[in-house]
Amino acid sequence: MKEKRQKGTLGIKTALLGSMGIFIVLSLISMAVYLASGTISDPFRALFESVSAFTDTGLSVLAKDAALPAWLLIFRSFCQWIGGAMLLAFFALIFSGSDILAPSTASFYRLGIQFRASLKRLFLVYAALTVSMFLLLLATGCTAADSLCAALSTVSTGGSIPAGALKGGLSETVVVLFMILTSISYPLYYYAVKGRTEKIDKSSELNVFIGIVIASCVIVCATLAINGTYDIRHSIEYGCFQTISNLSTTGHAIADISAWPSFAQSVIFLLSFAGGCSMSLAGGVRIVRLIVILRIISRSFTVRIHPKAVISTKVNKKQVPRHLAARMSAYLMTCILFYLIGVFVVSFESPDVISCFTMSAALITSTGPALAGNIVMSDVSAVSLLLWSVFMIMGRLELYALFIPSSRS
Amino acid sequence: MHLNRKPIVKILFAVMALVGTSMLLPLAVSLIYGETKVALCFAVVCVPMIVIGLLVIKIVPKGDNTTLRMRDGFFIVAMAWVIMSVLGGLPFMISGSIPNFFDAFFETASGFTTTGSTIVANIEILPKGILFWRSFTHWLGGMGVLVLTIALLPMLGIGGQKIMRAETTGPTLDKISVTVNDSARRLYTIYLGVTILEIIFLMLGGVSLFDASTHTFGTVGTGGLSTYNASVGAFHSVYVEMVITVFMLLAGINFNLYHFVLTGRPGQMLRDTEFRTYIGIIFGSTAFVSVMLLIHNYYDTIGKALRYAVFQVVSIITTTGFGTDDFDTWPIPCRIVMFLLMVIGGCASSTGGGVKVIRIILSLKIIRRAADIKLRPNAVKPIKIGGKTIDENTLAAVKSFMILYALTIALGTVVVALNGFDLTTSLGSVIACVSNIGPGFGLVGPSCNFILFSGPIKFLLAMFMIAGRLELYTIFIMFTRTFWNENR
Repeated sequence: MKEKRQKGTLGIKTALLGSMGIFIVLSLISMAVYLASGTISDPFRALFESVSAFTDTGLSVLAKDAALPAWLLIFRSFCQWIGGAMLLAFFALIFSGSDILAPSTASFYRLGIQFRASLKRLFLVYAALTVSMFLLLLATGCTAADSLCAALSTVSTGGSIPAGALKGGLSETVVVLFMILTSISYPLYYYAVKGRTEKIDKSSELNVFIGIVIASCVIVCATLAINGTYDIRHSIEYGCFQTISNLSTTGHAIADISAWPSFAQSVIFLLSFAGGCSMSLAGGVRIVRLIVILRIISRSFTVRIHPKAVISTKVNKKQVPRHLAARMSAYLMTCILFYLIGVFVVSFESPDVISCFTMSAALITSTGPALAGNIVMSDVSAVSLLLWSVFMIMGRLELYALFIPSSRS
Repeated sequence: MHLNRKPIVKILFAVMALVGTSMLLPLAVSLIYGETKVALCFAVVCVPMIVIGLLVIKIVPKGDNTTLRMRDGFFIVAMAWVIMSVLGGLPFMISGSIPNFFDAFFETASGFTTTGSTIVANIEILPKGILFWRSFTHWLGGMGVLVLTIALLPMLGIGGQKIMRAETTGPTLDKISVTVNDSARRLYTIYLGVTILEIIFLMLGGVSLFDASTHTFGTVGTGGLSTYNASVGAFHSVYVEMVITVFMLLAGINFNLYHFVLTGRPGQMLRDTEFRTYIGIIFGSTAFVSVMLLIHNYYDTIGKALRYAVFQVVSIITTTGFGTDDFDTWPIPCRIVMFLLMVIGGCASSTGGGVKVIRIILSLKIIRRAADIKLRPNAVKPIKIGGKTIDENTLAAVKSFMILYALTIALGTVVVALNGFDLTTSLGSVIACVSNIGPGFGLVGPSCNFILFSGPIKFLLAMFMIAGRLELYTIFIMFTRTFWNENR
């Protein structure tokens, strides 16, 4: 164990291959369940359904109106929950540019003994969130099966709630609340419990995230109300729900966004790229990276006027090392490239131009159903589904998977 | 204010006089076609512009300090393009062809930035003089009126080194010559040569002098405003299409490379990484698009599919925007390829827009390196192009440019969506303007126009065109605090 710790790069690579391996093995098992139960007859579709669940994307090739047995719904949500747990394990193992900046940096940074402790903390938070959401949903009058499905699928940011599971505004509020909670850095909960509030105060990422949540909800709800898409009550209800659903990359859909004003649509669409905080289960680029990248952009303006200026980038009141900032902009460029390739790959199955753009985002940010656009999942060909699965996995593993083939060692 | 005012005023009024002078050509065209009313409109606009411009240059004293700093350079370039677009629109407004200010500003900005988006639904009913001016703005904008101004700058007694920095498109590896004035002169000699050649070739194909020159202006400037509603498709001639395709392709190449050809070193051009990639992308996309068109039974013969595919691919990657076919009705994968080509754009130091091929190459190398560094954190890997190492500052600039470009498209789409049109239209219009293409997707597709947007949004889109043409920073920097604060 000690030897491994010293060879940092080997550790990263092993962890990466290990995670991919677990992903594949679990997907195959779940695929077998779908095939054996006769729910899905095509192996490619079954594979897609599995990968979609484990990556917490939540897209489904099963027809929406098909009455699915309760065990299948719970199984699917459980797969999503396991997917969330795997991501947490992955976080504890690998620390990308974003995660080094997380408030937990010091204790999480190295592999080794601390790995187990940190994994335990993350899992505790995860389990606590899930259980409390389940209980709250029960209290609002949802059935036990529905509550379980919704809790597993929401806390993991999966995004498949059975139709009719939510009983009115109260249970929707619970879902919105937990979508927000699961998008906040998990280590912060640990600090909150331990009473180390100074760590939380320092988190500029959290402040920005809360700012985005409030601002985007206000913008979207106001747009809906002013445009008369819904009455005021429903504007707030659907507006907040869909906004948070996309920002947290959960992808729950209780309203048809495609009928919304295009301004609201575009705002919601961009939010799924932003995603949640670092070390949370939300996908996307993550707020901390956005902060750094905006600083880099603003620095690039200053450099144009003062070519010799040296300007430091600070996040969470800590200075970001130059090479890390550079790496983050390279990461964002990788995202953009990967996203555009995704747009092209999706275009073979899409009925219109804009669905290519939304579906590619749905896959790479693991948002899922809310961004499916006009693409009918049950019509998509097997080859495309296979390709799309690759995009989902890469998106969920923060594109690390992309880096394996490029290394020749 | 801390800007060096005297030389700035001089240059801006010189630009004004230059725009006025260039209106003499469309004035002559109006007279030839017997459109006395239109000629009068041009005269009313251009005479005061020339007179005031020259007077101000004469009156304003030279000043003790003639050095231009970075800030001054940015300010001049940004203001020059805005002033050009406002003044250049006056003939449209006075003649009544395009009476609305926002529309006229949009149309002129579209001309000078060599975008080629139009708000005119029926182009063919416009007077010849107006049509000529519309196309001529492409030609002027193509090389940048400012490059011409730089050649004229010695007259004002001001060196132009700083302006070049804001004006040149994209990172370049080769400098033709040390002095700016020399390279500017050389560049527009080449530009003029290419223009005359194309006019001759088009006329050999039986095109009238008027049509040949207007379409040539649109081609070599990579603009794309046509004098026909059906654009180049109106000629129904494979020869004309091929001539225009070749010249669009030439206009999208780094003009510095022509210097090698002229000095008997064509090998240098063929070895150029950016040139090869550019040609490669064109071949690849043409092949893909024509195969898709055949598979989807859009065209029945290989010849037809190739003919329309190659024209449209070259028209879009060079950001010209001429059309022989409505690519917005093609199969979806073809449309997405068109979108990607819009982003890529032409080569650095060409008249094309977009992010430029060289930046795409560098970006891919940066991404590749990032992956390597992830696995071997201590590796030091320089990025090379054509055997030359690119320094880290250039790479950082490429990165921030690419991200800024993506942000501009994304946030621009959100703002344009305020007008209420669908997302395809909103996205299509923003990419078409920022990349200086011309036609977009959806309601602003090749068979449509931009008239549907509200005045403020048209203004914004026109500003996007100027921002895109001037590599984003030149315009956006005006809106930063750092720019206006002497102490920062």
